[in-house]
Amino acid sequence: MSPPLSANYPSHLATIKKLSESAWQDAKITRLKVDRWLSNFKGEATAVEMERLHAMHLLAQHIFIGRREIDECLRVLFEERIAYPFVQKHKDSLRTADAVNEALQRHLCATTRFVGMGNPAESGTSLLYRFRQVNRLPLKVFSTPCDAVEITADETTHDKVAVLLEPPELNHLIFLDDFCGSGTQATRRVKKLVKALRSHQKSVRVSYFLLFSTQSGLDALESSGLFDEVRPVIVFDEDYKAFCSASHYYRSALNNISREVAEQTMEHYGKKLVENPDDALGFGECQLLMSFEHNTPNNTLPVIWADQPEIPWHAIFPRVDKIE
Amino acid sequence: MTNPFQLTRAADLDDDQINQLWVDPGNKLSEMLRPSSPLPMIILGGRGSGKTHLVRYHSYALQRRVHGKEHLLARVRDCKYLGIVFRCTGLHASRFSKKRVPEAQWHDLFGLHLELTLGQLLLNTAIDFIDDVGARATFSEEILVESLRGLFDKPLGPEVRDLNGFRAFIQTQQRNLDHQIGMASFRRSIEPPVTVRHGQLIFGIPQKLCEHVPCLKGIMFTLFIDEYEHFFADLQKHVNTLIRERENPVTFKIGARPHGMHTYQTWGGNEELKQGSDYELMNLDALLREAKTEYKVFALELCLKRIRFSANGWPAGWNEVNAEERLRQSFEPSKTPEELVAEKLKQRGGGTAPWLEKLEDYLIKDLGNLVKLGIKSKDDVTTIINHLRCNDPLIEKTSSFIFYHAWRDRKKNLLEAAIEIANSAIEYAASKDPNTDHAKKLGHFRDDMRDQMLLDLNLDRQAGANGILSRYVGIDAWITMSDGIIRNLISTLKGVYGWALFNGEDIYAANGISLAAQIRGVEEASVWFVKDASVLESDRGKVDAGMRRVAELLRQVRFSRKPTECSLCRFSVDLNTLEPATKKIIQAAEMWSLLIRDQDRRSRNGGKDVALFRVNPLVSPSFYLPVSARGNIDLSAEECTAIFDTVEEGKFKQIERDWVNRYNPPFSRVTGKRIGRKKATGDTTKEDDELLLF
Repeated sequence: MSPPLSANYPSHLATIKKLSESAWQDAKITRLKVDRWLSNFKGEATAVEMERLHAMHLLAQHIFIGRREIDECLRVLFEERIAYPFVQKHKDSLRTADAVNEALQRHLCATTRFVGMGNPAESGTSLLYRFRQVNRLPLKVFSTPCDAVEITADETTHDKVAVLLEPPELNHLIFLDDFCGSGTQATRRVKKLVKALRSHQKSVRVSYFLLFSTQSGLDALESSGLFDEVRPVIVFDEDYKAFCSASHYYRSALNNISREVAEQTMEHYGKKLVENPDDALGFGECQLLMSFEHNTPNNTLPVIWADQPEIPWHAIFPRVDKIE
Repeated sequence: MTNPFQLTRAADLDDDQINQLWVDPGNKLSEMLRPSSPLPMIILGGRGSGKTHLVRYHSYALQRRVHGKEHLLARVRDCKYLGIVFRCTGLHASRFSKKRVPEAQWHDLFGLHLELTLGQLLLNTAIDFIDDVGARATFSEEILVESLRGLFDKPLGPEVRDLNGFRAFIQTQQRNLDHQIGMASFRRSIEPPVTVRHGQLIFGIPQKLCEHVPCLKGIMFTLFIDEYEHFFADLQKHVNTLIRERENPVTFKIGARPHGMHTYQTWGGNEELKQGSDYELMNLDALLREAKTEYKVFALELCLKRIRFSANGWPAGWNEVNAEERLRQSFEPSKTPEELVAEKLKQRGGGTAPWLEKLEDYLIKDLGNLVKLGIKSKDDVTTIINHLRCNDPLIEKTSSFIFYHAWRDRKKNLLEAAIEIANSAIEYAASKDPNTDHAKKLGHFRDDMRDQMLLDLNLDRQAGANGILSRYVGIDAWITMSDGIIRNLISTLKGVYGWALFNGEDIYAANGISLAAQIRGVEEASVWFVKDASVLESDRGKVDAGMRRVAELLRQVRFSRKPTECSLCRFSVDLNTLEPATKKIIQAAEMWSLLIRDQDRRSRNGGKDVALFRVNPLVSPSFYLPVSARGNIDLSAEECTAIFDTVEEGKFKQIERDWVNRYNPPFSRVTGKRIGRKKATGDTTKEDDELLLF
């Protein structure tokens, strides 16, 4: 029996094994999966051993956000963006932790709604459940965008729009999401609703809270003018683009490892895995190396996640694509 | 499937796991611990020896879990003690220094804090027990609390009316004191919230409880103080004083690393604790190392318990009766060195084996100096090689080894020696005659010869399962390598099972755990062990470098053509001749169990007693050293300094060359001066004489 493919890369394999036992626990990465993924690289772009070496190098640096990390980010999001500002504002009048908590809950129920970004069945929306659990919030403060902000024809005039709020005292609408890559998806989804709010309910503050964002995505959201604040917990700056000149995946000099060779290899295979060749290194050219416990964003290198039956490719962190 | 050995430290286990994973064949450890004995005990054990697991198992928290409330009273009365565990790390002892507060004040404050902390622990445990056995109604809480109030120097307020109130009071005082200690940098002085005499709470609370609470009569309050090495000397004096001035019904069991007792002194006259009268000693490391058979039983039982716990019962096909066998069978067996050698020789397609090729090379290079030994030409060399050839690689290798001895001894004609060796080989191959040279050499050097053959054929680390690392696999090898330190075994198994699970192997099936997983696990454990130690020592890098050098030196000598010591992994040195700095490094290595001190022995030169150290067997795979120790080399003071206490490599390299040249052809030449070996008067060995000639 020939030795496993990954046996040729013992130090990378040792790193991946450690990750699989710790930060990647939820992903259940086994050696078999690593070997299967390595077998994808057949020497089409450069020598097969070079391709696999570069693939292992990238894999050993992949960022996986597991359940624990997501829960911690959700907790941080709530505490830093909602709870602490509230405490700061009311600390002179509220003396005990219980009093603060009660007042905060009352305030949220009366004036704030958390809604998901996108379809209720999408990952951003599914975060709401975890957000509620982790922060022990009442069900009442969660809603859908349509329930919180109802846009109807004016009953009397029929040609003008009325924007009704639920609750009527709603003054803070918070969109919750897991990840922003390019920012296009978010802006597309909420444009109509937020514009209506801006026109008819100017007092409502619109926030977009998210766990992770690329810098370019954050810039796009902020410049869209749709949100009063955009608050990611973690921002992936340009260094997180796998093959940019400042990429931190290639900062130190490494034996036989070349950023250019890696880019060439991943782009070659990436083109075969996506419809649009511009997305060969991830949607929006994000060139990310990250996955979540629940899915892998398409901004990540396709070689990591492509997993459709029609394409002969073994994913290592598969993506479940949306069926539009 | 999960890794049964994922958690390696007892401190990381919860109470349930401590209980479930407890192993004590024949109850021997508990008997040796004597938790109800009034005589205090100091338990010395290296990291991973099981001290924490031992003390936690005997804590009240575990007692109540093990016995259950129904039987608790009867069992505690039977055992006659309540165990209270206190970890010295919890006190953050480093707070009690500097910050512009005079040292004398810190001493008093520490003493007070200790009283409040331990007093609370004792009280809390007693209250838990009283409530667990439903004994609150069996005594007058009012009278008890009245007597407890008298323990403090100043009268207490009326709010302290019952046990819970008294407990809350002590807790408040401790918090106040903690707050003041925290503010010490800003305030320069600290005013203690209460005052209480040394030992007043620690002894007084249990005394009052035993006096007034029927269910506590005759019960010993056993304070298990763990990780004692975290207290520096002055703080240890406080506890030492408590030990010396111990009063019933309180006793102490102190757990510390081997060099963790920074002092045995006490306050008040600076008297020292006396073993035998003030305390008894349990040297856990030595106990487990020396009791090899019992340790093996203990280790196997522990492994099986972990497996059973992890798999929620026996894995499929395993049971109480066959579990040990199944455990052994679950590891893919390695080929014997002879099998690996035979395979490799076959791959080479026949021809002269590398050990004979090397011998041939050496002889040809030194031809000019061998005339007196009967070798005049290359033809003579060829004749010798042909005499030494044998179908059996191990016998052939041993023949070359014996020949090197003859060459080194320079006593006889080497052609004649080769003939004698050939006859011995034939005799041994036919009948295994114990009187042959081959039998005598193999009796001692068999493992060394096997390992040398593997490396001669380049079957090193890179060869994986077909190489020398396959010598370090299997549960029995790992138990031996753990050398009485159970955490070393667990760490090795953690690595092995971790790799097996990652590889997708069935860890409970016969041969389920591949050789590759075993080798990677062992390598990982070996690297972890050294890294884990070097992080902890203050002479950063020196211990690490010293260990690397001494292990490398032993490896070089072991794999030389003519080692004089079999299964070499030890060195001896007269500690009295060492510079303090060198001694400190060696002692640090011993403290972190990188070196293990064996029983002192007589020096070969001069007859003095010398300290004998062996490299921890867990380090062995990294340097291809044996796991069972037999042989040793004597090192001089200067050699030790060059190995352990010198930054530049040059001096060590010189020593290494010196040693290597002694045991490799042409034997008679030494590059550079021999370092530090003084000729003992009238007691030179032949070897020393000959070397000094050049």
